[in-house]
Amino acid sequence: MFFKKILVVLTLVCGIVGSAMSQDECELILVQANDEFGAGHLSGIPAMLKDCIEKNENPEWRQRAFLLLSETYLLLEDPIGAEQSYLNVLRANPEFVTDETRDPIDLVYLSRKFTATPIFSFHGYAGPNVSIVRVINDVRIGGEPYTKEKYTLRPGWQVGVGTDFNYNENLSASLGISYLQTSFKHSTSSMFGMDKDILEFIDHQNWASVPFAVKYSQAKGKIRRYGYVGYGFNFLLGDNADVEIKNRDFKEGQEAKVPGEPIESIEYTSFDKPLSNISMKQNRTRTNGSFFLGGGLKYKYKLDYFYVDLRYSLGMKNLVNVEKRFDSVVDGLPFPYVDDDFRLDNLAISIGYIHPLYKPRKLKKARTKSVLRKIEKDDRAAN
Amino acid sequence: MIARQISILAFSLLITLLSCDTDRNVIPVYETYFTKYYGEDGNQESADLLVNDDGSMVMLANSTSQTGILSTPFIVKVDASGNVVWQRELGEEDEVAVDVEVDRQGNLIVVSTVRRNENSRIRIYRITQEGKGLDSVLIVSTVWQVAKSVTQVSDGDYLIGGYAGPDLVQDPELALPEDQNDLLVYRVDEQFSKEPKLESTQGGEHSGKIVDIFESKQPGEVKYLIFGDSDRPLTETEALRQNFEVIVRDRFGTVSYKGPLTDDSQVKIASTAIETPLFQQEAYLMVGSTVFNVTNSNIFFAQYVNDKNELRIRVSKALPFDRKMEGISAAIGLDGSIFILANEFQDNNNRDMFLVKLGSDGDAVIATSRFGSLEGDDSAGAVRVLADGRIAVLGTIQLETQKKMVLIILSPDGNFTNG
Repeated sequence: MFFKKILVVLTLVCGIVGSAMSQDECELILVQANDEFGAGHLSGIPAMLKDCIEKNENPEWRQRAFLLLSETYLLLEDPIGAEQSYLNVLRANPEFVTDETRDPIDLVYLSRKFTATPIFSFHGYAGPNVSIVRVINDVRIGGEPYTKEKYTLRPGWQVGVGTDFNYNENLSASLGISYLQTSFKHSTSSMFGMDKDILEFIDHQNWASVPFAVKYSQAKGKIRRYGYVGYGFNFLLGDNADVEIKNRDFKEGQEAKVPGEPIESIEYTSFDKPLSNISMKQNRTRTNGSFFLGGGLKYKYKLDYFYVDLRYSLGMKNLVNVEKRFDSVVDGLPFPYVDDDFRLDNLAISIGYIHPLYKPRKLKKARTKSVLRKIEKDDRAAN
Repeated sequence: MIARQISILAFSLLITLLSCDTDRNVIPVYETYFTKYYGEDGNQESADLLVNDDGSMVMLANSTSQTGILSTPFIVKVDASGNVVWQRELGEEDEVAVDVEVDRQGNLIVVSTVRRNENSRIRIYRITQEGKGLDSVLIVSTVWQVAKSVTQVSDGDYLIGGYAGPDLVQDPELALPEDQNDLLVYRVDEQFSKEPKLESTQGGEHSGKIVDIFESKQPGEVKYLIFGDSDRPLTETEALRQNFEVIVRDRFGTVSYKGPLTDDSQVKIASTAIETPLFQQEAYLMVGSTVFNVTNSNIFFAQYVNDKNELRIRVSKALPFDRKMEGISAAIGLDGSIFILANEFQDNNNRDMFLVKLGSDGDAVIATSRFGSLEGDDSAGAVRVLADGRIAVLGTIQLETQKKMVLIILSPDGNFTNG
């Protein structure tokens, strides 16, 4: 057993050392190949690099080697070899772009026939959110005019994954699936008398959402801005409420509050009763939709991206199942609460990661017009 | 053609998805059918509901503090949407209001029982529709008296029905057990200016009470139709048994007709009686409970037709619910259907409100609804039919640490929707 372990360690060490040695060898061969290219000895270059190309997986080395091969094949008037080598350049570095000031014009011309723009990208994200209740109709639980209602923001969170179809470098369509937990607090005060009973209703929803968006992104830079608009299909998975009833009765000898009298002068005895995890699913519409818009910043990390996203979703439909609104008195819920008609908006901040699936390929329609114009311009200048 | 259909379908889907719910397209069903809670400090237990011609409603309740047991009448007027117009307390501590009616001038008449020391006395109030007290009369008596209802009759006077303690009418000839309650009618003049007159007591029973009084619509001499229950036997050989009882008497107290039920041997306790227009005939419905034993009872009703001032039973029956029930209130729908509001007893003896809709013949149970908190003790107050056919239910609901009045407005089918 002990010897087996030693054997494994030795194999690993030898592998690492061997790999380092072959890397150095290939670097040396590439230097020699460049020298040969400089000397105009082109025909032997592909054979020189052949072994290293087969065994060296270092992307940076491969980019340089295939670039050299592309230029070599161009000069050898082997267009197929040149194109194949340039494709391998893009495979080694999908973001490689030729530079007219640095690279030979024929290589630049060749490069315009290719792209490595990702057709699809995958992303995942997570972050906090708050939900904003937008009341459609105010529904009162009592008949007293001084009863007040207030909605308060509550934190929620979301997590999701999705895929982007990139129409071009700037424009993409995104489809995803996400899980959201949202929450809000609905407080009703001055029930059964001015400044008397208070009911605090905290509602928690669980959603599955399928967002579809059209996105515009900057294509260059370490930090890239983007924005999008879209529509989300939302399905309510669950809805539970926590309720606290503060039944505040006047202390012995106290009278009901006279309007205008300071509240502090009234003393109450409070009979509080918390109730938790009450299912409100039957009181809600299960399917909903949201129109959303958002934007953020992408930070390029190697070939992938980290991003920060801010999204505001406008709930489109009334969340209340109007047919079940008053069923609390039928279902036996022992608290005086009724839902307003409302839509639920959501403001979410997410941190995410994008992994583009680069696909080096030859374009059906090459973008070579500008290069041709430059060649013609240079020719005219030379003449 | 197919492409066109797909386009139309896609466009419709898009419009549906992008359409937004607003106050313009969300139908405010909650204004038509709703539940609203009412109350003040402490607990409020509902007693009666009056619906005015303008759709406004007056809810009568009794209020107790969280720590005390002495009640005070509490009255709330709401508009047709259930918004409070005014609310106030009436009277004093240890007073129980039972009935609110509207008089010929449109004022509210409330009758209550005032308990003070060892006495129990009846009080009648007159209040404007704006909630201002006009006057009241406390009926002075040395005997125990309890009010159940008040009715304004054609001469403007008020007849108060209820029961009195055993010392009002001694029945030494009665066998044991000793006399308990006697049927009681007081007459109070329209202006509350004269001494209330004890107009009629019906002894001859151990226990009896009046639940409602109506003036007969039959031509000729004025007659009053008295609905209640007593254990008065029809014949000397018959055993004492609490039963629905109707009495027809004139304004001088002369009884012209008595008609207890004789259909079975079950005890029956009356709760309320209402007028029920029936095929152009003058008819009445008395609702209560039939008691099988201490732990079991059911809703019982009897419909009477006034045949020349003799109240003939048209139909009487116990409803087929296999649990302990107590009929409390009744109303007649616009289509003649019968609504009965009852208390349904749970295993722990807590109550829920139970509304049952019967066909106009009283035979078929068309719909039932149950209201109340899951573990609380809730109780039925009154059921009324609104002018547009909706059903108004007043009850008491236990909201964990307190009891409050609840007003429930339903469709004629007992739902919170039009559907």
